[in-house]
Amino acid sequence: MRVYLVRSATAEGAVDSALSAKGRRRFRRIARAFARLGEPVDQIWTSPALRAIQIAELLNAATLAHDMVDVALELRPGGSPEAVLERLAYEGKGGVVLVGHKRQLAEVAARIVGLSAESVYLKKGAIARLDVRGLPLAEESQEQ
Amino acid sequence: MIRLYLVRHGAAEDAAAGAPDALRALSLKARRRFHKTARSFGRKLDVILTSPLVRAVQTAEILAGEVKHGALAVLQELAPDQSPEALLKAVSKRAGKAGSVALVGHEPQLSRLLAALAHLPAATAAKLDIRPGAVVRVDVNALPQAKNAEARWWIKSRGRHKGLPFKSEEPRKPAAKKKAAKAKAETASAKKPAPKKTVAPKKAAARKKLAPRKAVPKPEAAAARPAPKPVAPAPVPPPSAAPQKFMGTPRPPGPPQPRPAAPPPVSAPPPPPRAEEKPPDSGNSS
Repeated sequence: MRVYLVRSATAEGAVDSALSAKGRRRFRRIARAFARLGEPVDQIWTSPALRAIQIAELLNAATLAHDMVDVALELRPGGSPEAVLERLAYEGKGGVVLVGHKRQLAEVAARIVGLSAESVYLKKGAIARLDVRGLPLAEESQEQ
Repeated sequence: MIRLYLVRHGAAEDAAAGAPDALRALSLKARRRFHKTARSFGRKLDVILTSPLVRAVQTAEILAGEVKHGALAVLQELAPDQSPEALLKAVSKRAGKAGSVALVGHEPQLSRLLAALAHLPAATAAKLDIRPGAVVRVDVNALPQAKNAEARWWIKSRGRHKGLPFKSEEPRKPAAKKKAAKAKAETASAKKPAPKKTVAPKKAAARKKLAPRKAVPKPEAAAARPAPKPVAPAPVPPPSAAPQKFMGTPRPPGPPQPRPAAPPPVSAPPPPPRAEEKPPDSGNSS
């Protein structure tokens, strides 16, 4: 199973703001570059936050094949990384894209890879790929 | 003149336990349907405005993926709990000088907005019905004191119709549950159990009755624009027995829509010879 981590900004304050025009353009470019890599994506799970949904849909439009966006409450800001890992274990198959928030994704990555969360840093606009083989776990990350 | 496109989001999945309604996402079927609609859109959009709810944002993004657009922004006034007057004000403020604007939102707000824009009388306004995933184009002279707004056409995944989107005189049939069950099995969604498989004859009968929704004959459509369609305004529409061609994809079962004129005998006019063990009322559980 391949897990792709995509970071979405957490909303500041009460209002969940949408991606600005610049943000959408930028992420569309990232999505297209990602699609050109040719990584087969089977599922896209996203946090219910507004920007994350937009990012997930942009990724879906770029990687195509068929519609595969799923809103996963486990990925909400402040959600527990264990819940995400559990869902991955039960439902993850092939290439799974997780669109979530920095802190939680760092925790998820750390647990899969066996590092401490502080040493994991997802750059904005980066898509990190983790190859999960159960035991042992392999890790490989690409930043675009 | 401003071209407004009112877009109603498609069917959404049931909320997970304890999750708020705003977070419900579009069902896979609704997404596919709306992709078709978006692909047939064929025009540029200056602005896409959407309600902040997940299902509306998804619909807006699907539209944005297929249509050349200028900006996409969230408009809080498009949320389901906002008044149409506030919506109208916000739209005119945000849309400004734009030529074509898409508004992705919910019912009944979109119908009320349409009624306000076109200055429809209350009787006609009550008959408006924008289907899930449908797009209604309204040409407006100016906002917000829109005069002479003319509803030009509306489309849903199965076809394009002229005039105002009225409630169909046919009761909705939960047709093609078998197909829906297949589609669910394909997507390997283990969340919901596949809907009950209906007996095939019911599907065939349902198809016949569904047909009138597709083809609006020209003279009727022309009358639809200046005056309301001469449709029997009975709240409980009698099913027509005229056999007609069926075209297009089967109707989505979708979550049960709270319709003001929800006809109780939806399951009542099934053909008599049918080995159906289900009680008649459960036929409405789409």
